[in-house]
Amino acid sequence: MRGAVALLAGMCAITSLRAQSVDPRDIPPSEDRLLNAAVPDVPLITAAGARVTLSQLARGRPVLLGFVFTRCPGICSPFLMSWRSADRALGEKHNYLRLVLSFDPGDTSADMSAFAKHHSLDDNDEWVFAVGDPSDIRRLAEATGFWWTWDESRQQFDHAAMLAGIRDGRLVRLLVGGSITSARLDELVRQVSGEFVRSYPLPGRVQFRCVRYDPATGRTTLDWGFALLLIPVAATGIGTLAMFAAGARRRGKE
Amino acid sequence: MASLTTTVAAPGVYRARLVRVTLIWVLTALVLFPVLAILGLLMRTEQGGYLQAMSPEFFYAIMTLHGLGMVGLWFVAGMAVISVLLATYVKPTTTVSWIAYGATLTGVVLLLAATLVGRLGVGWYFLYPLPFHSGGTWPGWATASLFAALAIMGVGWTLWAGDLLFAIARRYRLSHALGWHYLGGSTTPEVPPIIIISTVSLIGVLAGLVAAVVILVLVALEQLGGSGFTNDALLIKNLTFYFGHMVVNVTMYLGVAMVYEVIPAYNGRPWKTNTLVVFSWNLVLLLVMVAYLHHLYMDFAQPRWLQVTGQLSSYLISVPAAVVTIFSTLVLIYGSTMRWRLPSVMLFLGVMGWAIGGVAAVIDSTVAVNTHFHNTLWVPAHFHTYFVMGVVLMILGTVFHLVTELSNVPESLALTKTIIGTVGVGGYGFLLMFYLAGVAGVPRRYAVYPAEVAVGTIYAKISLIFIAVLLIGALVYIWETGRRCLKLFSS
Repeated sequence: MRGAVALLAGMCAITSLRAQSVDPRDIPPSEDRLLNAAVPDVPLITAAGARVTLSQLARGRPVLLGFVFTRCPGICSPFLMSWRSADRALGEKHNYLRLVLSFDPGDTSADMSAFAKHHSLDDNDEWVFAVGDPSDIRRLAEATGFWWTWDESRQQFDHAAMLAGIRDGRLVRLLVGGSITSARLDELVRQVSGEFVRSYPLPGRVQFRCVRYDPATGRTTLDWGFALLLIPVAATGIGTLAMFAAGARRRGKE
Repeated sequence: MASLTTTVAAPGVYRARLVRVTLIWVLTALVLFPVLAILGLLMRTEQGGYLQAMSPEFFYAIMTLHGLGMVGLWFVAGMAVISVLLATYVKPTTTVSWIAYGATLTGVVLLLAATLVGRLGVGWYFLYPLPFHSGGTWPGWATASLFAALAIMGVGWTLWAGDLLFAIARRYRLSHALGWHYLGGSTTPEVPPIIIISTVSLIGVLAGLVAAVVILVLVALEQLGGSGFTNDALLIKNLTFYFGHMVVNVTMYLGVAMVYEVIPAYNGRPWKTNTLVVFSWNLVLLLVMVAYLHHLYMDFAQPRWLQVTGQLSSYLISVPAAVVTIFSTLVLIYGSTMRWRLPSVMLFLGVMGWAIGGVAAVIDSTVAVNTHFHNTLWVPAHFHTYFVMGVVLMILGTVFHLVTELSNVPESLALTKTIIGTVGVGGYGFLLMFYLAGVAGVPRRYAVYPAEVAVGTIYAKISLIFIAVLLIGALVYIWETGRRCLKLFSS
């Protein structure tokens, strides 16, 4: 019994410690671990100065959320331009809210207004640029897997580039990376709109894959992990033979 | 061959020990069975719209406990009963049965904590990665508790299955235990069907338990290995259903072994092993290793040839195990002076329930049909048929046979009629509501039905009446069996 308690305690400790011991910068936001998590309905201030909550902005529509900061000399502008370009390529077939949120406590709604204007998105009702209370932004970031840290040497933020797809207050899917293709954006929007979109983890991060799936052709081929499915049969076969051999020896002695 | 006077044909002290541990298993099952059944009643009550106060989170927690509990309960009950029946021919170790009992009780406590306290709502199949992605619904310790329970019970059950198989190995060669000499035309040594079916079942369950070990190792590697190790969800799903499908199927096979062993005691006709029985059960051993693939029809990344294998093996496995047993049962009974008592009626109805559930299962194992039925109440309909009205009746019938013979308490025909009537009407009425809802496209695993499938609420309401009738029959059975068990204890 004590062994069972120790095992349980050990597993609990491992489960909780694991999340704490890894530097978030070492791993990209993991969609697997955030899927269906509740996204807090936080109050925001739009670039136009309106005070609204996330759900009031969404008005029942799906939301694609991207984080930026206006003084970013790095990925923010290319990321936003890539998103805008992919969005335009899709045309007007999707009805969803594009929400660009600053995670920098120093940004104001006026800064976000200027940022929107700089990217020619200030006169588009489908795009909303906003700021919020730092603690609320932190809660949103935690719910969607977004991270940032202040880099003292470079006097700027180090941060992820990603889109979070949200529907009915739940995280549906993430699109990670600064470059957004129209095909990937289309998948994201379709899924966040309630359509089933096939997906399978990309190679590299998953060990013992039992098949390789090519989304382009829809074809699957066996991978090395499939061999693990043979272990039960092989182990039981060997064990059974050994058991009956031992039984025969016992009969011989008797 | 079993007869009324050789139910537990084992010598003196060993017999007493064996009977005692079996009675403990039986009494535990008789306590847990109505509790888990009431959880099912609660679920249907919420689906019927009568339990608005129960949150969907709690619905999924008790759905998990009900599913895992029932699967585990009837597996261990089947193992306990088959142990005592096997003792007529071989000598299993009672100590290992006690170890398995301790492991099972520990696992039950952990599962109760995980579900009722932690609100773990992963379903009986605990499909990866859901246990690790609760979305805040249950805490991490509940998931750890689930896997600890599985690990502890897995160790106990592996030892138990290994001990039973080794008991067979001490008396029979593997070729004899599987009856291969019958295929060559020889009938010596004579091997009773229960030995052949038990050997097939025990090899199967050991394979399933090894699959569970692989799952636990992979999950532990992921939890210990940091971000460097992520499991393939499709691989884990394959392994999970390899394990789960095997445990459920083996439970049914253990029930069938009881039918072969006990029915002859009620009609005086010996049920001997023949070429057909041997061929059938050896084929089952091969096919059961791949039949689980029908659980993965909805997984688009699973290669097509595996889906075809799943459909073919599911079709083929129904022929040797079910058709041969059902046909043989009818032949054995036809024209005989069958004594229809509670055990013989329950065993016969169990075989028929297995047949009905099996037909529904074969329908569902057709890829084209499964596309429509997979996520409907048709699925719980068919597995409840071959469980509640199949293997459960087989096990309960055999238990009643054993305790009645051992306690010398005569059977009340009035109570027998009450039990058969209520269980028959309540059981099939309850199942019919599942089937009709499944055909109407009512989804499974819904705590509350939305307007689009509101018809599900009506079926759930009607099913409550049948469940109540079924529970009355079950409670009368438990009373009758329980008092016999207690008398045996006091003596």
